[in-house]
Amino acid sequence: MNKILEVKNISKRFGNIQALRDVSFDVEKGEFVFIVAHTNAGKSTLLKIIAGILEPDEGEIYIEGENITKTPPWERPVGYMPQTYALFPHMTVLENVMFGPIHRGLDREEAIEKAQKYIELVGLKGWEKAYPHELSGGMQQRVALARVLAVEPKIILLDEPLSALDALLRVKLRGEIKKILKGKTVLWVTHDQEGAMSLADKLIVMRSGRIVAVGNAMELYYKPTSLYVAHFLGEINFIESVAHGGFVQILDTKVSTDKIGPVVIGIRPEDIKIVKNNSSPLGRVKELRFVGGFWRLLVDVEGIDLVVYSLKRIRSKEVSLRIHPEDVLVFDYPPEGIRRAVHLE
Amino acid sequence: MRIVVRNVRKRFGKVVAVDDVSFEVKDGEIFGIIGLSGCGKTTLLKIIAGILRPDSGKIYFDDVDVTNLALEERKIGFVFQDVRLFNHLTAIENIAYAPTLRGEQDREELVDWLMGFIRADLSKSTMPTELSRGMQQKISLARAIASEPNLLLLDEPLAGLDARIKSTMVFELRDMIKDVGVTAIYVTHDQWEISSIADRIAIMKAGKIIQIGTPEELYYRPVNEYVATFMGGECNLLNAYSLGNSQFKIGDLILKGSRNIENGRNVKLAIKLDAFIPNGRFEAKIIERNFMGPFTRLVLDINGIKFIAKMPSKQVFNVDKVFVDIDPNKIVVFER
Amino acid sequence: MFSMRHWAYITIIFTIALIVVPSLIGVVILLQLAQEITTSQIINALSSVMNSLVVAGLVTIINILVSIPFAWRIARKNDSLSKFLDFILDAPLFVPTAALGFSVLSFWSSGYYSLNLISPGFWLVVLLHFTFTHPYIVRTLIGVIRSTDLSVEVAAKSFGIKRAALSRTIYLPMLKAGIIAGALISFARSISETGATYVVAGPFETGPVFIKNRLSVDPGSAAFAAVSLLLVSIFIFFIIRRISRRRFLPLHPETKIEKMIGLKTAFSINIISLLFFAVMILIPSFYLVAYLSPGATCDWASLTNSLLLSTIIALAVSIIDLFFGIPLAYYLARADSLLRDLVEALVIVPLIVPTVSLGTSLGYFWGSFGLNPVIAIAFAHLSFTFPIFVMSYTAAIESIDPELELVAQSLGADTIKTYREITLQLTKSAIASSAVLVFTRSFGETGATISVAEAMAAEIYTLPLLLVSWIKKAQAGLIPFSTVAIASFITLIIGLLMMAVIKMAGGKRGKYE
Repeated sequence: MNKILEVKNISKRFGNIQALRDVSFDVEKGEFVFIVAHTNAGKSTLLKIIAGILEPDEGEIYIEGENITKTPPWERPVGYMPQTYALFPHMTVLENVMFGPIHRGLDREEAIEKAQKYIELVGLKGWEKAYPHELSGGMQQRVALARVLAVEPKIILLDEPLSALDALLRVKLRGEIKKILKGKTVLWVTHDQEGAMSLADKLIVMRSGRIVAVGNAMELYYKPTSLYVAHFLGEINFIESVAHGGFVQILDTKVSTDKIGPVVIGIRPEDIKIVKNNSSPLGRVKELRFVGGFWRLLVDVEGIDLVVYSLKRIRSKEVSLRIHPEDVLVFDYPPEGIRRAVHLE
Repeated sequence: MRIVVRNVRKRFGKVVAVDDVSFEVKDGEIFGIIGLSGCGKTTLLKIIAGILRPDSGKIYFDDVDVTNLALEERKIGFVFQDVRLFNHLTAIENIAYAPTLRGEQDREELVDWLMGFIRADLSKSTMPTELSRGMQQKISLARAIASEPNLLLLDEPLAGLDARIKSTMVFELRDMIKDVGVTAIYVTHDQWEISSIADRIAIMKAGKIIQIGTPEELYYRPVNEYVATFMGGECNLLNAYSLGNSQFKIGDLILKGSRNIENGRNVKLAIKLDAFIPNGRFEAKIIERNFMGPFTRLVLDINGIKFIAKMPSKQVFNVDKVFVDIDPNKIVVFER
Repeated sequence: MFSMRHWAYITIIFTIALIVVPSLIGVVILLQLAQEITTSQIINALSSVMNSLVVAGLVTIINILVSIPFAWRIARKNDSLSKFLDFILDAPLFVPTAALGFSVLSFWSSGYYSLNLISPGFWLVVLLHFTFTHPYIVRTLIGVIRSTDLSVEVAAKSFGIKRAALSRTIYLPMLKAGIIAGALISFARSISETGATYVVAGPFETGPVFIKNRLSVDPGSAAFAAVSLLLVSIFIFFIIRRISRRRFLPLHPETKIEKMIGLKTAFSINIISLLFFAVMILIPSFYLVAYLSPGATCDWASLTNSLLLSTIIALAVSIIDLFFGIPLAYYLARADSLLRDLVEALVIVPLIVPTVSLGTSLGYFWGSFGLNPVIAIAFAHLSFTFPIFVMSYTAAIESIDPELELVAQSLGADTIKTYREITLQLTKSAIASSAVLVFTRSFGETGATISVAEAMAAEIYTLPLLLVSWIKKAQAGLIPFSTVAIASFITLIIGLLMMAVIKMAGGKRGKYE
């Protein structure tokens, strides 16, 4: 175990708003960790506290075992890249990138050399003399990356680096950033759960200032610890039910459970299979939408609306559905009701 | 209301923003316009709204020529990317704005109905700024619908929302618009969003419409490589040559395509990411994988050729190779 | 380690020690002076304060009515007329009010080529006050209209709502804060103006004129008037602040009249506001040029001495403002604490207090230490220019994305280096224009200067004071008008040069966008 970053019991309050509550987690050397959460969940605040530009009310930050909670930002071995990139508008690309090395104590020659190395790494050789406003959004983002890399921090903090870009460009650049940052220790904050799942070594899900789940993406997607995490990581059907005798039932599928009383059954749309078998329960197709690569159906089975994904176009008005017991999730019924338990804001 | 746009052109200085655009929106249809920033879609929307005048061409609302009518005279409901609620008025006053200023009597009833419609329970004094972005956007849609518009224009209404909220709200918006039955034009740069909401889509590039069709048509029957890559976000584009009989050769690989091309001709194959079907005859090594929930994005190596594929996650768990077939219907053939 | 914060704390102590405390103690001295005055003295003092209120109120209300369409046109129409008006608009601000007073006087009232319409008194004071308050309101309104996102109008228009109802339900409520801010500045300026008012008032006495007239002969009355004026100003400031927080009227249907108001009405309103600007503001402000004659001469020695004195005071004041104002502005723009809000309030107060009251109290305060009157005048100038510099530069820093500074710190630069290499570089032109603004205000100020001089019984002639005394002499027929015209013209040219510098500095701002 080689812990680069340890965040211990961080809390932060702004006036009446509790931005962070008792947040703790670790990042190991070379790990790509994502914090994924809705807007205003406190994830940017957390990054700023790690970078040292905000002070926590409680808790400590350690880098390689050393407590840096009271260390000013300019002495922390941390690279922080904000959502807006915050490139210095009055400086050229080269001056932007060498700003860090110069202030971290390198002399001019060395700083230029280092800056050029990272400008080349992000693929902007030849643009050293350009000003930020002369570059496209994607290029600005790469300058910001080079600037962070040039201080050679122990950990890189990225705050929604893709949110300023067109949807189409976003998918492309996601992969590119991962390539540029290969081998580095990275903590990346986003609201895009799909992007996070696709790149993360480890995923941290936050809600309203708290960490609600930590784990690898597939683990959290298939075995979520709560209704909220299940819903947040992707579309899912929730059906209210009651467990008794060690079982719950969904359609004609019996699932064993150790829960008793009111429960919520969760089943992902891709796990409901459309079959040709007549003995399976029949449902009426209420809606059918092609959503790029697959079809999204709304099927009414015995008064319950289920969302079902299908790889093929379904032409009939009625379909038979089959659910495998091992795909079914069973949760305790939340005291605040399903809607509030999964509320996204 | 049926909307007809006929041969509309608009230039700003030397830049042709909208270049001879024609299309028709059926009554009650949700019509999508998609393109990258700068493709002219916003200018087109402004021309339909009456904020800009076209240099030439006509706009008809139900056979009435409205080309020279101002925004104030077209009766349009606008929903903006940046929401633009009246922040000095309460949320309810926002919804009731148009009926109130027109002095319509039954506004209480209408507002009640719309509140139920957007599934919101707002107090009389709730200000828009106290609400979440998603809820603000619903209020803005309700405000537009309360004005009983001829046409609803939605300009990237979900841009800037969290990914997960966007994916639930897009279906809610569709339900709301379809319930009222108003004709709508929906503009965005997000191909997933537009497929989810629109009945038909026009894809724009450099001021021109390149293709109009249902989401499925644009996805599986693109007219060129641009559309093929755009709808889906990624696409395998490979040079090949025709062996006749709808067969095509790429390196050592022989694939069946969606149509026949004369033997010996060079072609470009656009292979959609969902074309790869498990339990097939090609052995594919998995070089890279990105788990995305229901689907996993893979980089496959089949006989030394790299393909990007999206397959149901559970079919590619814990394996480093899969056997696949490639669905001929999802291989689009372009002549070179 | 020394940081921006330490520097700011030193500045706060400076502000309190040299500006706030002297003013407060000065007020206590005034209250003692005012203890033994008779009822008739009180009535006289209060009626002069009342006069000030009436003038300021009348001027502000009419100003708002004519300024809104005028500012609207300049802010929203980007044609060459707008650009021209935008450039010329502030000119009266940069002309010392004493010269302005002479100019207005010679246009409307007495002199060789004047209209001879209105003799010195209430109405001439009102006309004068229009000239120097109008730019403040219009400038504030233009700023507010440009910075307010009015794009919601598209939504309202798409519902078929016409111009007048649109103004009632959308524009006015959205611009409310800006309109009130403009009105407050106009009101505050009108209520405290001394030099020019003194010149055109004749037998009519506003508060500041009353104070000026009594300071040497009846200090008790003057002190009482100064304190009353001060309290009334602060009171009105807070009342208006309170009202401005209230919500606007509820929505009402579009009325028939509103439906009738169309393009034609809007057009004629535009013409009226343009005419008002030309006839009431622009021509009177520069009419003194008509009195320049080739053979005229004046007391060059006194003029150069005054010019020199004013320049030295203004320069010294600007440099001190800069030195202490920069860290304080940085602190106000970036800090977020109770102390910050408190400091902001302390800094704003001198801005709303009539300079003549400020000058009187400071005059007595420093007089009790036997301080050199010129230095006392400089201190008085500091107290009202410092807030102007701090407010102006605070706004400039607030427009810089704080993320830039945070990133610089995280890259390794401490707060001082971050300020020097990022914030300062991006706000250079704002510093320059704020400094020139402060220089101009100090250079042309009359009220505080006159009251300090009188309270300390000192014979000091800064340029504006020299002008005032010359105009008085000319009115009495002791010297020719052309003499005053030369002196006024020179001050006017200096003022316009300052304006050109500011406009040029402002024009550079868009460089990196």
